[in-house]
Amino acid sequence: MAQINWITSFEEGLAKSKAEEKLVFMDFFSPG
Amino acid sequence: MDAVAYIDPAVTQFVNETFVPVRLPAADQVFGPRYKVKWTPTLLLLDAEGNEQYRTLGFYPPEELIPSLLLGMGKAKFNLPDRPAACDCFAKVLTEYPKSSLAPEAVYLSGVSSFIETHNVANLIGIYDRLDADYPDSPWLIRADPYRLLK
Repeated sequence: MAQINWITSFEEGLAKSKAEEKLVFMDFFSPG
Repeated sequence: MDAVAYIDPAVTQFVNETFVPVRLPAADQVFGPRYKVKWTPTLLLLDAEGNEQYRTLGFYPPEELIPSLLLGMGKAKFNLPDRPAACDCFAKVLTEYPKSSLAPEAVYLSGVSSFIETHNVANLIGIYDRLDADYPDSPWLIRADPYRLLK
């Protein structure tokens, strides 16, 4: 089953956002 | 979201292809306060500088999550400002998800974006007419009521 390729580092996400010229989709979730 | 929306194949494909998905606990001590996270789930669209472009709260079924994110993308494009790209996002909500609860807002924002781009009041009148015809129970029709007077 395909999954969302979540990144768990904010900084890594922003760097990827810049490199790929995409918006960041940020999910603040409640574990459990 | 994990049990329903995030395992939906259409959502998975849309999110992976369209965005950089980042996930943090709402209790994260740095980014929770920075983005004033008080509810879960809190879903944001951020630009590459980390500036918030769109925020929505609460759970979405798959068929509502994608139009919500399209609406957010449109708002982010509008803010650049890249209004033609914004209109493309809003149009996608209307063509692909016309029954979504987000569709009336897309009608409104699409018409306003087009008006700002063209200065043609027909775009504003068109907002009222479309909402009146297709989404008469939407609160967005109330917001569009002044445009009725432009006829």
